[in-house]
Formats: sequence, C-alpha cells, structure tokens
Amino acid sequence: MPGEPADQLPVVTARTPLRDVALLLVRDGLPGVVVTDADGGPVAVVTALDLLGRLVPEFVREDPALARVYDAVGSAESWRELGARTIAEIFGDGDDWHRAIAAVDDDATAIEVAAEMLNHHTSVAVVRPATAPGGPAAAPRLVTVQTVIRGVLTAKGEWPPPAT
Amino acid sequence: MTLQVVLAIAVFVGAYVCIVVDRFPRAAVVLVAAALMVLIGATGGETMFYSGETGIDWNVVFLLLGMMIIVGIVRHTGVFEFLAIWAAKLMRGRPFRVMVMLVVITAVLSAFLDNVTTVLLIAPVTLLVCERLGAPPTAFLIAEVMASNIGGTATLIGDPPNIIIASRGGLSFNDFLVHLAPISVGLLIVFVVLCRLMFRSAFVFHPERAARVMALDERAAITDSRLLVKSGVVVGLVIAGFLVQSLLHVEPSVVALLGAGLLALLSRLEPREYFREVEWETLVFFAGLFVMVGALVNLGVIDALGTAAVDLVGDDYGPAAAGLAVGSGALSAVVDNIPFVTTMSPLVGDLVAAGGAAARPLWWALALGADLGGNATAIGASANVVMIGIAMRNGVHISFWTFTKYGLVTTAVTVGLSVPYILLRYYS
Repeated sequence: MPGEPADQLPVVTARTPLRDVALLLVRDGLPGVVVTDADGGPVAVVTALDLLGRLVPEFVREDPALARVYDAVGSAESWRELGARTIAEIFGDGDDWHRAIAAVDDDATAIEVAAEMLNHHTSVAVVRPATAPGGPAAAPRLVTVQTVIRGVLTAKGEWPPPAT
Repeated sequence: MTLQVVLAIAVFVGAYVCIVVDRFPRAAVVLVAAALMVLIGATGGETMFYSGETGIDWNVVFLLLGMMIIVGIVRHTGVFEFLAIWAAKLMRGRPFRVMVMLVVITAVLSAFLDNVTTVLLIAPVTLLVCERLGAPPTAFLIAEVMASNIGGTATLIGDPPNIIIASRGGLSFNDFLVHLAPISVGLLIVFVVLCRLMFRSAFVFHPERAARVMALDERAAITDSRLLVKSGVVVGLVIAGFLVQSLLHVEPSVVALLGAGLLALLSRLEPREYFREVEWETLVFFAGLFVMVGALVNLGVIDALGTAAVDLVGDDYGPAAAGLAVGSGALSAVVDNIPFVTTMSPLVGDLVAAGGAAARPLWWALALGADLGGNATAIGASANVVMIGIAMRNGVHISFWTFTKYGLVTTAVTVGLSVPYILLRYYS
C-alpha cells in the first residue's frame, strides 16, 4: 500500500524450534513471524492460526463430538513432542513456502493486499523487495491484517470511526 | 451388429475405462456417457425416467438418499464416538482387544450404514484412541475399513452393490439376512484371527498409555442426548420396517424415506445440516450408471450376453456360482464394484430367470464377490479411498502397497471361504 509504513514482525529461520515461535506469538501477541532463508529473504510467514492448527489434531477439527472429548492432556502431550521440532520439520520445506506465501507488490492497494491474504488464508503478507534480483537483500517488509483493514476503511471514508 | 449398437458399446467401454483410471470425476463421466447414449438414440426420456428395467432405478437412489439423511442426523448425536471410546475403555486399553472391538463395531455399523459413512464416522475416533495408546493407526484403520466391507455384505442396505442386487433381483431385507448374514459373521470371526496375525507388531501393551485411554470421558462425546433418544427410536423403526417390508409389500426406499422424514421432523435441525451429509455426487453417479447400462439393455446387448451366459452355464449352477464369486472378487479389486454390479445384475437376472430356484444363489455369489473383492486393493472400494484420505490428512501415510498386501490376503481368505459356503449350502 503506497505510503503505508511497513509492519514490524520478528524474523526467524526454518531451524527455529516451534517452541520459540510460540513464545513470540503468545507472549507478544503478534499475528505472525517471518521465516527467512540464509540470505535473509522472506520465505514464509507462520501465523498464530498456523500454530493453533498444529495444537489441535485434524481428526478433532473434523469431528465436533471429539472436540468435546479431546482434553488438554492430549494437547500438552503432543506439544511436548511438537515444540522441540523446527519450523521446517513441521511445515515442510522452503519450496512449498515460496508458493504459499502471500506476497504483494510495493504499490499494491489495500484491496489487492486483502485479496491476496484471503486467498492464502493468512493474516500477514510480505511486500516484494523493490531491489533488483541479485542485489543486496533488504529486511523483509510486511503488512499485517490490521493495517489492511485500516487501509480499506480509510479508503471507504469510514476510518477513523466517528466519535459516539 | 448395427452401428448404433457398436457406438453404444464404445460409449459404455469408454466410460468404464474413464472410471477405472480415475482421472475424471466419476459422476461427470457417467453423465456424459448417458448424454451420448441419448444422442445415439440408445435411450430416451421415457425409458430413462419411467422404466424399471432400462432406466434409473429410483428405489436404489432414494434408499441411499433416505439412509444418508438418517446418518446425517444421527451423527449429530456423537453416539458413534461414544461407542468407540466406551469399547476401548471396556477393553482396558489392550491394543488387540481394542482393535477387535473397533472391528466388530465397524462391521455391525456397516451392516446398517453405507461403508463410506461408517469409515467417516469411525476413523477420527480411532486416530484419537491410537494416539492415546501409542499404537500404529495404519493397522487399526486398515482393519476397520476391511471390516466395513465384510460387515456391509450382511444386509440389503450394508453396501451399495447389495442395494442394486436387491432391487434388480426382487430380494428382500430378510433374504439378505438369511443368506448373507451367516457367512458375514463367520468371515468376520476369521478376519479377527487374520488381524492378530497380520498386525501382530501393533499390539504392544503399555500400562501408562492404557491409563490415558481410560482417562477419556466418552459421555462428553454425546452432544445431544434428546436427539440421541429420538434417533434411536426412529432407527429402530426403520430397521423393523426393513424386516417386515416384504410382508407389507413396501419398497426399502419407502421405509428409508419415511424414517428420514420422521427423524428430520423430530430433530428440528436446519435442513442444510443433514443435507450436507448427502453424497449428491454418488446419487448422480448411480443415476448415470443406470442410464448407461439401461441403454445396453434397451438395445438388446445385455440380453444377447445373457443368452450366451445361459448357454455357457447350462445347468451347472454350482460351478457358475463359484466362478461368479471368484471372478467378481477379482474384478472388484480393480474396478469400482458399483458399476460392476450394475452391469452384471441384468446378466445374472437373465440366468436366474432361465434357471429358476437353482440359479438364485448366483445373486449371493455376485454380492459376496463384489463386496469382499473391494478389500483387495487400496482402490477396490470407495471406503478404502476415503479411509486412506483421512489418514493422509492426519499425517498417517498408507501407501497403495501397504494396503494391498493386507487386502490381497484378506480377500483371498474371505472369497475363498465364500465359495465352499455357496457350494455346500446350495449345491451339495
């Protein structure tokens, strides 16, 4: 979104244990963390929802009756094993992430960013670096869903909200 | 052979190949084939919609619809999850005993529900139990899907091929109970023994893990106890209706639809909640298949094959039944058993019409072969494909060959035992 300041999110690598990611997301209440490659380029975003998806097994999500049975003991046990594993071990290799990441151009409008986020089911998008390929890697620029909503509402003249 | 017949056979074979290679949605394949049959004049509106012999068998379609609606409502109660957890706790978390209970529950459920539905109901709770036991889910899931195919053989409503056979052969719910339920029970017992041998490495008992199963509260799975009572009453009435349908001269589809309507009324659920469980694609697939096969019946192709089969079999119905069971088992391993039985039913009907009571066991041979043959490979039955998909989504990879090596053993044993059952019971 032209003129919008970039959002700041912590940067981790694919070798970061999920336990550390959880600490960042939960302690600091952040929507996600950015995973970078060896050159510092963003390859993926792990959001709080991604983390939640790993805490609740698929079979519980598919069966509402089991969601009532599945207790915290189960989640805690699976977390003991999951927490020590790295992001790459849990979410797959970087090639998959390159395809999955929500990436937008520097001059994308709020609606374009919103559409990209919704299509990727993510609350964070990465702004493609303006530098030419092969140039020095800049720190990843990010847009969070809160920024996008503010951008959409501002464009519609509904932001800031009227005083009541 | 006229050009029209040649074209109709080409369309039929082409559609069959498309279904086997599984590259296109099967409902779309049969719809296109049905449209082509109309275009070449092999069938028409009147024939398709109003002929029991050469058109859509509405009894089959509406029986499936009624049962799907009933299951769509009953699953809201959480009773299936309750049963599985209760059984695991009853067996004190001992892996083999838990597997036996889950296999028996799956087989019994499958006798009254569609196999795919049974698998959808039992797989998630099995994954939970395996997670707590630290047992390999692959063994449990494979055992269950095979039990569903064995259990489904027992009744008219247990497996779609049985519904088709019942409708085409004029067979009642009780006919299936009398002729197929006994062998199904026997095969299930044998299968339990097979499970002990095939999956022996999966039954390591850990007391501390068993304690985690015992900690599960199965009552929490019951989400709506009032609906559970209502469902129990209506399902009981439906089963009673199936048992007396031949006395009352009511079609099974009418019994199922009446039950579905009553339960929908009593449940007060939003229609979209239970219609979501209806597999519309499967129903369309059935309708298209009936049109496709009906076109061949209409053109006399099936009659010609039937006459040839009658000449070939003569009065040797015993060997014919044995051959039909083994042949159906082998073909159902690689071809979806629904189109296979849809195609074979008019042929078997011709043989039974020619041979009378002596040829009637051919229906049971067809049912046993087609139902049990589905266990042979990972793609032999829709339930197998669905189960492997659920496992995959939950991080459990069951390869084609992993499934098939157990499937071939199970099919060889079950079909192998069905042949002497048919020969001893009907032709000795």
